[in-house]
Amino acid sequence: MLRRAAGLAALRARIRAIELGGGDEPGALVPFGVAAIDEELPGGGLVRGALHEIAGETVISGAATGFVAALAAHLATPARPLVLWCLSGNDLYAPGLPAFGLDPARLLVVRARRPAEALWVAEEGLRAGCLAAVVCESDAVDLVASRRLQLAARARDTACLLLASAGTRGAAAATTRWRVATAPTQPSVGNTPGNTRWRLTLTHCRGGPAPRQWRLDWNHETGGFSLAAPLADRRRTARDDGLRRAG
Amino acid sequence: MEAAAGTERLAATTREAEQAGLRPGMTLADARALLPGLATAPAAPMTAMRALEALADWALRFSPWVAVCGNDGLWLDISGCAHLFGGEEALLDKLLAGTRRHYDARASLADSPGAAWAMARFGKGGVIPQGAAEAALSPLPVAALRLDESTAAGLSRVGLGHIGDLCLLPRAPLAARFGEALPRRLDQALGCIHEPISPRRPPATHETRRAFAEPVADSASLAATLDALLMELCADLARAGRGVRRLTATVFRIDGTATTVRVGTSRASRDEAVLARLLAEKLDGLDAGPGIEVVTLAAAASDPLPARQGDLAGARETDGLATLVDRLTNRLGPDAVMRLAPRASHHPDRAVARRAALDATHTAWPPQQRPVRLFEPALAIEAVAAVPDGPPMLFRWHGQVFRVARASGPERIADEWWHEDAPLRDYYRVEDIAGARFWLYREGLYDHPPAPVPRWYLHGVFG
Repeated sequence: MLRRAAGLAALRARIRAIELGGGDEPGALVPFGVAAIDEELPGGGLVRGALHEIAGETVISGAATGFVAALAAHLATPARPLVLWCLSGNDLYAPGLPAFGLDPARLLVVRARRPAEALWVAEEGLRAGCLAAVVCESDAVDLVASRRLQLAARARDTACLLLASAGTRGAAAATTRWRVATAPTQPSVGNTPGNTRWRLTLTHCRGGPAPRQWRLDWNHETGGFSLAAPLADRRRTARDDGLRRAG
Repeated sequence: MEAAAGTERLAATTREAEQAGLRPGMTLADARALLPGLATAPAAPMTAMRALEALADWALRFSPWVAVCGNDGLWLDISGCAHLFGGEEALLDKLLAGTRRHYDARASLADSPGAAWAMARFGKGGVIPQGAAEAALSPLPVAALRLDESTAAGLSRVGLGHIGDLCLLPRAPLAARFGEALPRRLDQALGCIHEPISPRRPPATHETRRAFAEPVADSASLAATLDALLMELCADLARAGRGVRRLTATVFRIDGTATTVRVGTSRASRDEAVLARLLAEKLDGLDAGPGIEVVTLAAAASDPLPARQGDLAGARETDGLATLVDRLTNRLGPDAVMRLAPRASHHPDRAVARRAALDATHTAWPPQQRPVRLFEPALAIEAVAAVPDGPPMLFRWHGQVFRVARASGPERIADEWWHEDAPLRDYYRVEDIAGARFWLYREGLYDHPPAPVPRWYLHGVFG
């Protein structure tokens, strides 16, 4: 029975890899650590060697920046601790990043002057093969560019996190596309702003269902994601409820 | 013509004027008597010197060892270079053909600098075969030995008008009569004693070059040539136990122009693949013009790099990072690639310092609640506060109204004491009803003018 289950899992992994358009070997997966999200993602986590697009909902989205920082920190491993962050402006503020688990000392910051240059930097970073992730602030990602980034990410198993502004068309070849907005935090003593809370929407997921929406908490002290307690998601299903109990 | 000691003299003459009997150094009055229709222009020694230096740079295509000689000549040490151009004759032809595009020039190739100098100025020029210097120099006047005027005149007075006359005489009496310089110049010209030449630009210790039989204009051939040169250079560096820090590739075109491309590396390297990629990036926009005749590739700066076994995973990772940083830096400039470090400043705008991209020193960041995006300068907003000293209830920015649901603060941040006039800032973290978190500050205090009414600013947004 066990062996059959293992064989089935291996088969599923291969099918997933083929679905993702890669070779036979499935790329490394990085789970969020939140069962509700991981269950929705094919394979149970974020594919490391792939292009993921994260967009905000406002012109200057702190939420998207924070989420990307947390994700980049989450993707880092002891062997590959560094993250390349390619800036399009000069407003990224390093002292705010440790709160999302991303130590700015592990950041290689590159300032691009033109959108085309930013894409070049991202591709170089992905192909270097020594980075945990490449964050690229760019809105000018057409189909060809997103395909290039996707291939480069897969070639060296380096995540490409595309940080886009609100209202962009979206990178067509991205494996996942997310939209991040802020959500009101848990009331706390003295009515002060509490921990970070995002309203996270998975707008596109290759080989998985979409859209899906969660309210996700970021714990600054422990540095982990967790699902915000009562969900305001009306599209809940019985299956979701079962998973929530399990998680 | 130039003015010296109150008289105007000719500084240089054209070939036609020379045929009419004019010589440099002649007074203008004498010259006009010989040639009434003489056209003159003031001498411009600085301009001439600059032109000569440009010519010296141009001549680098033939040899890395080029020196300016006086104010009217160039030395080229072509030891080991002639075969690249198809022999000494061919090299001299190419040199003259290139120079004569702009200048009237003569050239000679001989065993010693002195003989070449004499043959180019007083002889018929051309290549003097090895060992034939004495025969070639004999009929030349003694002035061809680079002697000062009085010595040359003195020699003529005693009937020693030609170099051949001097060769027969014992050296000691010559030295006693005319000074040490005469026998030394004679020996230098005949190649009996060595005369060192200092090059204008120190040649790179590790340099490779390729001269094409036919000018090359397509980028594929150029790239292939550079690859081959790079392999030679890396092999050369490996023998010397060194690695490149700065690589220069120079292409010399047939129209006499040259372009140099420079590539820097953050650490010594002799990895052909890495260097080739760095170089290829820079060569992209290189214009071949009418054709390229010579390409040189030199390690303009190198550091010791001992041979190493490259199979440790850790070493490979840092190598990968160094390669990446080099590629980014060479394309975007050194200021575009950086690491960030905390700086001990209260002022949020000055709290981040830049470090070199490969500087991995770790400094802990102060545990403060700070935004992830900081606006510089801070954006002026209109804010309404319930109490003058409290956080705002709502604020307007870009025509949009944000209602504040929660706030914490103030965090009072004053400038360093040496910035005297800067007003105090009270920072608040506020959350609007949609959950967006902002970093606002109020500049100035109500009971402490200078500002009659404190102003509000939006300085950043939280994640």
